[in-house]
Amino acid sequence: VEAILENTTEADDPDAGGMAVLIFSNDFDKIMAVINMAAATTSMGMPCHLYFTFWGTSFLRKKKMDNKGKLFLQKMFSWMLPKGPKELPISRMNFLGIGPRLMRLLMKQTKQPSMEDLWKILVDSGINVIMCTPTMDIMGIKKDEIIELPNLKFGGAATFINLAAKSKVSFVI
Amino acid sequence: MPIITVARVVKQGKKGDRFTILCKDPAFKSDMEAWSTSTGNRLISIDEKEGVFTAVIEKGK
Repeated sequence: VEAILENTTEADDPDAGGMAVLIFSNDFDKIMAVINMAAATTSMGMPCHLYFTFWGTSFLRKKKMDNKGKLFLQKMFSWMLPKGPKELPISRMNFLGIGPRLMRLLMKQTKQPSMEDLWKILVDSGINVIMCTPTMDIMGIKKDEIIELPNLKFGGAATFINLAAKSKVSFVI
Repeated sequence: MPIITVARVVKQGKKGDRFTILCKDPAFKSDMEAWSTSTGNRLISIDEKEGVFTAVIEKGK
């Protein structure tokens, strides 16, 4: 009986049965791994939820900053953290920022799709992106400093836990 | 990633349509098997010859 109940709720809920990832890190290589997994998930017809929190929020930032009304330390965060995928550091062999460029070059040479290409595929396939609101409060990130996405939501810890509990695969990176 | 392309192409077909896919990715066989089981499409055959995989898929639903 339990199994039947589980199946019926899963069939009714478009959010259930897929993958939920908590993206804590803003390292290029780690986010690349998540994006690859997400692309596979959507290709397999499963729902995919990406929850961007703390350093991970850098990925969703626009190039343009709006530092009006922010606290001093929030301005520091704003200046020093990467603004979007192009500025992400790499977790090993960063070489003061040259590492990610070398990795991008290597990916091009081995004919791998770039981070931007895969991200575009994900956005087009209707991936769910959730921005962590407590992080936005701490770092002073404003809503108009985040890129526009069709399925962008804002939420806290409970939002992620709810999605993770519904999903079959869930991890933190 | 081959399965992204495969998923895109197969999506455009109708139920019962067959697709022949050629791929050089060494992970193609295990990826295709996983992909077809989880999406409900049927993997009719998959063969390897000189590093090139040939897969035949029948669209399920």
